[in-house]
Amino acid sequence: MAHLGKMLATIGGFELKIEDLETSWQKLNVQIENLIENNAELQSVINELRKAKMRGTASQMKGAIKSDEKIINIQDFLQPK
Amino acid sequence: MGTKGIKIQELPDLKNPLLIAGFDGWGNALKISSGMSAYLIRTFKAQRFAELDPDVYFRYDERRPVVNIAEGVFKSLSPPGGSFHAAQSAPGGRGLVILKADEPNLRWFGFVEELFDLCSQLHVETMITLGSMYDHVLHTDRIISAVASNADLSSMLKQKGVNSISYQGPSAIHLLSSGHDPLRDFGPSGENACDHRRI
Repeated sequence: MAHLGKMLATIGGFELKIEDLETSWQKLNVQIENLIENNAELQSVINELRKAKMRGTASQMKGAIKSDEKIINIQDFLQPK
Repeated sequence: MGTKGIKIQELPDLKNPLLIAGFDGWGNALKISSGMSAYLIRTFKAQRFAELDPDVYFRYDERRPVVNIAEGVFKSLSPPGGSFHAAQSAPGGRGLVILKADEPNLRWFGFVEELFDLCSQLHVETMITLGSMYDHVLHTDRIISAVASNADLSSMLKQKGVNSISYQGPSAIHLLSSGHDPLRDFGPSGENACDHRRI
């Protein structure tokens, strides 16, 4: 959201402080990295995405992923029901 | 067109205002769209000046009002809806009109027409609607894409590092206000025009 806020302010021509958004993201990123470190399924998905990214663009990545594979929403792992 | 669904309490006086809209519902992955509009309202201490009439734009059996009942006593009921907020982005800076709303279920064309009428009254020339989608991307990727109402805007967005989108499929309400409304000419040079960008 910090990146979106920065872009929104640039496009919209107004000033927007995004420091607290950046701070929130950094905290969330630490949580996500910890999750990945301790979860083999996530590690596998992340590695595949990284490999696909190195091979090509995001749109090409979609082709590299089987159509029956679901998108993993990191929020499902952060807030298990 | 039909029943008015945007109830205005008092029109704010804003300098060169920009309208930013964030909708809850479809296209609000991780609540980025509604979250950003809430963040803007909070950051700029924007004042509420208008709201959506839920009876006009929402289906309660699709988006049910939330009730609060405590120990057998009915306390409150919160229907779906939305509200418009106004702020100056900085002393002497441009005005901001922020719409934070649930995506309407009904009368999309009527909603867009009312929205453009409000833009006209407030002298809003540019509107940005926010959305977010799940995709096969890394959590560290920062990808922003946009749809613009004309090629010039699209070029400008590309120059700023925003990806352009090619897409055919179901739509959210954002794109109805992008200048292709079959019920009314919202072209960017028209009297009631708003340049429209969806991010």
